[in-house]
Amino acid sequence: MADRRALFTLAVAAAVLAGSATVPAGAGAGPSFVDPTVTMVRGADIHLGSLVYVGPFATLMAAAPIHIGDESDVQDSVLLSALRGPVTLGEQSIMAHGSAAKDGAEIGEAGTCPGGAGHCPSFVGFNSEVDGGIVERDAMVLHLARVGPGVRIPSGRKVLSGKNVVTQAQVATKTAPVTEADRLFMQGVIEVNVAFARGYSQLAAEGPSNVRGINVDPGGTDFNPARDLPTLAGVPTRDPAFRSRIIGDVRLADDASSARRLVLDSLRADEGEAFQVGTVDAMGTNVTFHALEHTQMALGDHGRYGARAIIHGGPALSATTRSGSSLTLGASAVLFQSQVGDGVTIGARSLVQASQLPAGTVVPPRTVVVDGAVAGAVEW
Amino acid sequence: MVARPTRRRTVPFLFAAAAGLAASVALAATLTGRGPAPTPSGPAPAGLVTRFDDEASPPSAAGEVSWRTFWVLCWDAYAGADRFETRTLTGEGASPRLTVRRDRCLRIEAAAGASPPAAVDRERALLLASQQGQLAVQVRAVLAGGHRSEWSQPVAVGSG
Repeated sequence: MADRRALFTLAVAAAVLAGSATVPAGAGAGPSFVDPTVTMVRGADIHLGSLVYVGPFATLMAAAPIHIGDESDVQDSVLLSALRGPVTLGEQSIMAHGSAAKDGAEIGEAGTCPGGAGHCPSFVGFNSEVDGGIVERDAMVLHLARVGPGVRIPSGRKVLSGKNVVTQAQVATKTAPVTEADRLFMQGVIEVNVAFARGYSQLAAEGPSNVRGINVDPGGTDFNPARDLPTLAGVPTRDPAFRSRIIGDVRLADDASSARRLVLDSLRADEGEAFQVGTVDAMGTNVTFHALEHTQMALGDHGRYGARAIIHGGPALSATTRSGSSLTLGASAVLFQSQVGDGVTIGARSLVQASQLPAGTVVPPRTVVVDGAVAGAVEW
Repeated sequence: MVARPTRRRTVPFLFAAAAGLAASVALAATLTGRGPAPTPSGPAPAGLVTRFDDEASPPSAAGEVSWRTFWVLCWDAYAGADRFETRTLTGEGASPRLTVRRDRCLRIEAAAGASPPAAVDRERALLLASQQGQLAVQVRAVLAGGHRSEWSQPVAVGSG
């Protein structure tokens, strides 16, 4: 892929740009897509490869250069902050929803790939942070984990959820080997997001307003051939001026008036499978809901969602994500492929994954819950 | 309707040799499955069952055991099938890449580590549970003339 490494400089002269356009195709490899809600600071120092997908409400601040390599994805509400040093994402780098790379962070650039391959993915998980650290190719940082300045996560290792790696010596105790399943997962994420880069680019080419506000998903794939509109209180709705991105077959119980409390949030069902969102009592900014075909997601009424909270479906029917009424999800908390009953509270910056929690459960802040049991703490 | 996969953990966690599937699951080819979906020519493969195969080394001088757990998915024979295709699904979506296979089992390394013997089961369980949120697999039959069956229901990698 070396011949595809020609990077494009976004023609953004303004000091602050909100609402970029689709990046044109280059090097014959295919288009990149930058959601119009992305905020870029000093965009002239932001360099994008081909087939990159940059999702809603990501923020890219480039006092120093930001490089994003071919086939990488920067998902919803990701922060790339190059205020005190460059941020480099190599080819096939995955920045999952809400993650951050800051000040000298380097992801997927150095290191080796299995079998001596020339390129391979790397991954930074939900609401995780790489603060001046290095995550090599074929390395992972799982959800709500952190890599501190100067720390290098070598190829073939994954930082476990919630861990805070601040010294090189801690790498041995806070990581596990990357497995074949992890590699298939990362490759699958790359392929899906490359399809998003193409699909959203096509959607934008047909009409720039198609990729704004409340709108259709890209459709056009064998797993999701149709384009679907969200519904608000049962009414199919298209509103490009809406302040949040609500995409595809999302079915909000709230009507358009009540939904105005959703600001800078991203609710995506880009693969066409309906998910139900009950009434929302409160929602902070930069909240992400994401589900896909084959995954059911259903959230009860009177939900309260803190800023940067994430609710995510899993990849199988057994991975349905469901909440009862009156869920309280704290700021930066993650509810992933789980089912929780009425009145559950999940504290700020906690992870609940692959779990079933009975009604009334309270998960303290900064807690990792996997398979229904406390697996550790979020250490930062 | 596809029968739900049933747990069939045939090998308890001890120093088991890999079950001779490695050679039989060699990937024959991959292809990209984009474009309009053809009309399926039959029901999905049935009889999906999963199991775990475990491998481990004797404890090292430091007292740690290096271990690996493979997740195995098998399905019933399919009348008229020339081959099978599998695809992976992640929390982000369905991969357009399909894998062609001639056999009826898929074997994926799902968890690995190096741990004191007393910690192996706990770490293994945690890593397998974490895996379930990431990846699932579907399978379909390819019949004579290139016709395809329905896709099976997704089965989460790491599920038992």
